[in-house]
Amino acid sequence: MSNRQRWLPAAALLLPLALLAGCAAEPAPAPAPEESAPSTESPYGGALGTPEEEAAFQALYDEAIAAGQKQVVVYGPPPARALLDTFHERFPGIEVTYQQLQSAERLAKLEQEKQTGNFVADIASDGRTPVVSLGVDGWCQPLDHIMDVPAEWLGVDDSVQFQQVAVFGMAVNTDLLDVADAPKSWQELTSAEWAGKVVMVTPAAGGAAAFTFAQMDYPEANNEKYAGIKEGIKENVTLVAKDALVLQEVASGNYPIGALAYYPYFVEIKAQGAPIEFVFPFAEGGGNMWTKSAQCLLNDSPNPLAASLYMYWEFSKEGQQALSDAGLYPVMPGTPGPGGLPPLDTVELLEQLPDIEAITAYGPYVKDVIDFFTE
Amino acid sequence: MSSLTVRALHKHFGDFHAIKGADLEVQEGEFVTLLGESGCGKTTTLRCIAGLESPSSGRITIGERTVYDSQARVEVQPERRDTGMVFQSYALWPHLTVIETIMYPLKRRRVQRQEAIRRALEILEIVGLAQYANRPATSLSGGQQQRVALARAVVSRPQLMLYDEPLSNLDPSLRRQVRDEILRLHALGGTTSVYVTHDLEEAMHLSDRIIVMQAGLLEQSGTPGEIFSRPTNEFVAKFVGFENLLAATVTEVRGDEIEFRLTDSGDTAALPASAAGRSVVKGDTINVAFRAANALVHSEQPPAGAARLAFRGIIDRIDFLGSRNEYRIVSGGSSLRVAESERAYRRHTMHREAGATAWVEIDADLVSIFPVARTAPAPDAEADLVEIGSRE
Amino acid sequence: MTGPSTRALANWDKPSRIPAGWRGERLVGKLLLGLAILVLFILFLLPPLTMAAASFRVGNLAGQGEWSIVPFIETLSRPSTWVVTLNSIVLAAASSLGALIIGTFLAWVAVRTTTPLRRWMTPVMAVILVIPSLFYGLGWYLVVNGKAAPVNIFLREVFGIEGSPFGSGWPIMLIVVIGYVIPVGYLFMVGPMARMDAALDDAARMNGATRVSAFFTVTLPLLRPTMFGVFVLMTSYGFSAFELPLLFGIQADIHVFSTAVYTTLTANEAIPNYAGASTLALILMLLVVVLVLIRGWILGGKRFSTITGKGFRPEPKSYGRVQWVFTAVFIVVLCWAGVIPLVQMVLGSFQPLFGVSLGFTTLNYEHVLGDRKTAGLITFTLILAAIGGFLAATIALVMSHLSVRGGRFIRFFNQAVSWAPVAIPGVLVGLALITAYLPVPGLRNLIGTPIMLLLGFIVVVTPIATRAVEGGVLQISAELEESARISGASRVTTFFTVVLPLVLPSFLAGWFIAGIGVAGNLSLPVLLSSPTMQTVAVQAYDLYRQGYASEAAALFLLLMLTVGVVGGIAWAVVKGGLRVLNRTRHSRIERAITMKGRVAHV
Repeated sequence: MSNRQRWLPAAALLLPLALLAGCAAEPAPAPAPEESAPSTESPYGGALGTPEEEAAFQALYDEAIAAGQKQVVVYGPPPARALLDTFHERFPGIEVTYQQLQSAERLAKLEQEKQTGNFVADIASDGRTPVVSLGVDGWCQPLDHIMDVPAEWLGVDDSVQFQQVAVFGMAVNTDLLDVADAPKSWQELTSAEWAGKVVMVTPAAGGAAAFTFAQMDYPEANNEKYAGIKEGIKENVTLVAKDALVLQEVASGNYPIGALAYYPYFVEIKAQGAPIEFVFPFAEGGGNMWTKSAQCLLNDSPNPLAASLYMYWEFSKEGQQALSDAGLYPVMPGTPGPGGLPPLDTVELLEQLPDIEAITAYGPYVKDVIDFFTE
Repeated sequence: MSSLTVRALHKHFGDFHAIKGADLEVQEGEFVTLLGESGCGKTTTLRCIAGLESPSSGRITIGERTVYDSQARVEVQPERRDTGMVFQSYALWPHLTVIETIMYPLKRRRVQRQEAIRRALEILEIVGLAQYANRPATSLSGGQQQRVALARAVVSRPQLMLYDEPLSNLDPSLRRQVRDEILRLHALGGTTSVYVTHDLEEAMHLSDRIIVMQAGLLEQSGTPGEIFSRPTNEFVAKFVGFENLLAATVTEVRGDEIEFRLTDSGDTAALPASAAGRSVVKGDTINVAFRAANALVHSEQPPAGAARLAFRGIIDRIDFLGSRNEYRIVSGGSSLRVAESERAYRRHTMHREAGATAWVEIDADLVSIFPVARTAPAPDAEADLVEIGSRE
Repeated sequence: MTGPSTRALANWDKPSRIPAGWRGERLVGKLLLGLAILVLFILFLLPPLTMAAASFRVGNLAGQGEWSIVPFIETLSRPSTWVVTLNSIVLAAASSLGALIIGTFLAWVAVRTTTPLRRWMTPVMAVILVIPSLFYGLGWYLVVNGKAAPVNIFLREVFGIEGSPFGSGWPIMLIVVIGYVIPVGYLFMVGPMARMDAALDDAARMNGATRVSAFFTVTLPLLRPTMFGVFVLMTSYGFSAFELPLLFGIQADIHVFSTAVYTTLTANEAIPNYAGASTLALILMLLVVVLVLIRGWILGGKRFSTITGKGFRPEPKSYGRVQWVFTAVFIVVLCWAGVIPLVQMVLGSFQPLFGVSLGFTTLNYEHVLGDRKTAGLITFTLILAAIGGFLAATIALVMSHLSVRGGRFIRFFNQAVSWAPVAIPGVLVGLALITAYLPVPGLRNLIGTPIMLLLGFIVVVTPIATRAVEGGVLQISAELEESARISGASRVTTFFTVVLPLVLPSFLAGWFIAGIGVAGNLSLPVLLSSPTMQTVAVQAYDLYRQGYASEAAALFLLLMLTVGVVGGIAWAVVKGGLRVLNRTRHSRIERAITMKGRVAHV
């Protein structure tokens, strides 16, 4: 009865590749000896990072195992299977489990654990505002990263990390339409010319779709820049209930274009052999939707060593590569982006408010968007 | 076998006062019927005795045991009162066979299986249903089902048997049969019994004693003969079928005779004291009552005699009903009804037409006198509470 | 002479209110009852009450923070609130009515006629009930949406109509929702239908009524308690229906209550608007209260005794050739409610991408069967469902029984308890429970354990079980219990020897439907228990949301298969066991009789 329609993207939903792609994603085990010295200096053969960094990882791992910390419990939407598989292979003996808890439920559960002293959760994982909010409210403890993480990917006094970015674009059924003929901008996509040919998940159910158009409404500058798009969607775009249905409809050939498609999900569908391509970013007009995913280490985590191992590992070469293979933009400099997509800094992204302001500012606009599409 | 005592029983349903202080005593082995119309409280009284209803106050004793006492805060659950009950709609359990149904009370009393089967079969033989032992109880006909219910009630040899209008749901043709069965079982077992019905004939046939109830009150208690011929108040008189009730005032009470003046006509008359079901005193308003079927109608004045009453009047109308003639005769301001049997109207010649003069004659021992209201102070209530078992 | 013996009324005082019989054993009973009432209050009534109070508190945590009327006013003053309310009321009432009518009709066919295939109806409906709403909806979605949809192909070929005209909108939404709920209606009504004194409608027929009018004037009215209860239940749940209206309503711009609740709660990701969501929930609460009151008013305090001890198991009768029409109706309903979605589910489980024809693969089953956790998952789910359903049905039976024979307070309390959880929208149930139980000293420590999960399930599904059972209890005439009491059985013994055997069909139906409710519940497992306690439903939905819809389908089909097999075995064992028991009972008596006979004739 209660299928909580989360926004697939914003909630660190990492989609795996098919086995084929999965193999390709396998972190190249020691690609030819680096200038690494014997094993004591480079325990993982350079897969994670520099020898010092790898030593630190190993030390942390040993410490965690010695302390009997065999499990890490994460409250949030689960990531790609391949990501967890990679971690488990790298660090056997520690199991990372995700519990699908978000929003009010997560808060209630955390509160219950605090009140009874029965602590279960180690990490909170989600889109950026919920985790940042947790950080601001004092639920998280400071992180001490092994890798050299740039400041822009940490927040709230280093207690929140942003380990990946996801983007949204157009899925095109190449049997019905040439990629070159796809709409060039939001304005074109939502114009009468494309009426009946575009399918999108409905913003009335909340989620990333609602958030996208809320961001187009605020601040004022955005509002002017993206005027008319919401209305165009209501007029000309076919709205369906679920994200999964969008790609299903495009893959089945019912619609040539699926708007606001989540890239990791696209990657997975494409791997099944669907005749689809991804168009990102828009050729003009900007408004390309993106989300940061965030995690934080909870104050009373029962397995802080194991948990921080996981969280730090996500920034390692191996971790970031795994994310990339799943269709997400890694954040550490020097890691190649997901296959076929341009570097993030060359894309005209949809302007977003800073983390802390975003916690409260967007609320009313999201509500308005939902109402707009509900009437 | 035990006696039953009920004292000062009251039952309220919200504001409705269903039983207004009932007292009764049933002797060991006696068969007593509570007789009355629906809503008079007879069934409620029975259910209070059974324990299926919780009284508001009072005391109930079965044998030596007090099963309910509002002051001493005693209330024994129905399953421990050692009674047997027969319900109006049989209340047989659809998922049990006949013999299982009858064994049920025995099992509850921890009778060994073999013994239970034996006793159940025994009682089934008595009621003539042994060949249906393994049939589902509710697959039998109505009359048979009620006999199974009877058997179930008596098999555990209870101290007290209770009957809640057991014949009302049966076809009229079956009622006599099952009634005979009840009588037979009672004769065999001699269990103290309380029976509830609205049917006069049933009450007459079955009971050692009848208690007439109305609106929560016990109107009269007596043998069937007493109830039938000597009603002690207007309600009972009408209930048992006295059609003629003449208002009168007692003018004199002498030893063995009661003299009275009829209110409507002003005439005086006298009857033996035995005509009165209850004692009357001078000045009491009374009803002089007799049945239409017991009166005779003549064209001429019948010879005078101390052992009869005679009224002169005009025939208002005559209804011919085949088995009888029904007369309405206006006499001294009252309208009298007389029912003339076929025998009488064939043999007896008289002017049978409206407007003719007629005399209504009634034997003194077929007349009943009872007070309607008292002008004298009421006698002590306690004194009224006679041990009704003592018959004269 | 004897005189009347009525005491003079003049000096009679009404005695004090305390009734007699407060001796020893009854006191213990009363204490237990008081304790039970307290426990039930906390478990069942506290959640909706605290949720209602939470409408007026603003803060990060659900149900806590400062008192404020702002979210309340703001939520109710949005026009969209009332649009979705109206939509949901129409959807809920119409679908419940449709499903109840069809379900009752089929129940009657199954029990009272000799229609061919009738013996299959109950098992088939039971299996269909296990199909989760998500896949039921997806199945139908693929039938009416898109170029490859059978319906659209037909329309294209035969009428030249393009597109998916029936893909969304009120007609298809109603059809789909009604179909989904028909098995529920059927399973609820088959119990009471099987316990009707056939003599009652025979009597009507004797008095000149035709078969048809006897059905409407005698059979149906006697089924009123269950029917109205089920109607109110289905309407209340239908009001917070989530999946199906989403799938079939969105494209036609039909929005419903449950989405509004969900989006109100989560619109601002970082700061959940529990107050707003609770305010919306108040609307549902009001609806439930009104419906329950109406039901109570219609039923009055009447008895609906259909088992009076004069006969209770109606013999099926033949209705001639029209019975083939009945069979046809059954087949149609079967396709509607079961075959179509099931076929799609099976197909989809063999596709790499659910609903997209890219060939077939067994990969999904390999994943599911290869995962060593799957067996444990299914077993755990089944055990939880069996135990939870059983306990819920037992509570329902005891409460219904006490309610029928008890006083006004008990009746009111039971009504409140058995309807309270229904007043919480499905999306909020887990949250409402955890929020209510958190402040309670003993209870809060149970959260995170399997016991709390079981308790939560029981709370959520007892209303369902109650609707199945209460009708059955009402059907038993009071005299059947009274005659048992007089025969020497205590209240408890009477319950086990008389009430239980007679109410068994309804009890079993309640157990089963409640069990399925447990198996399909999504909101409780994650919130109330620990990471190791997972059910199939949660796992399958997780898979679906991650994009592995086909794998989710495979997992669910495995569950359904297991339910079918285990259920079938259990059914056979129970039936066989009962038959053996009965035969031993009867044969022992027979032997005793013949022995006695022999002895007597010696």
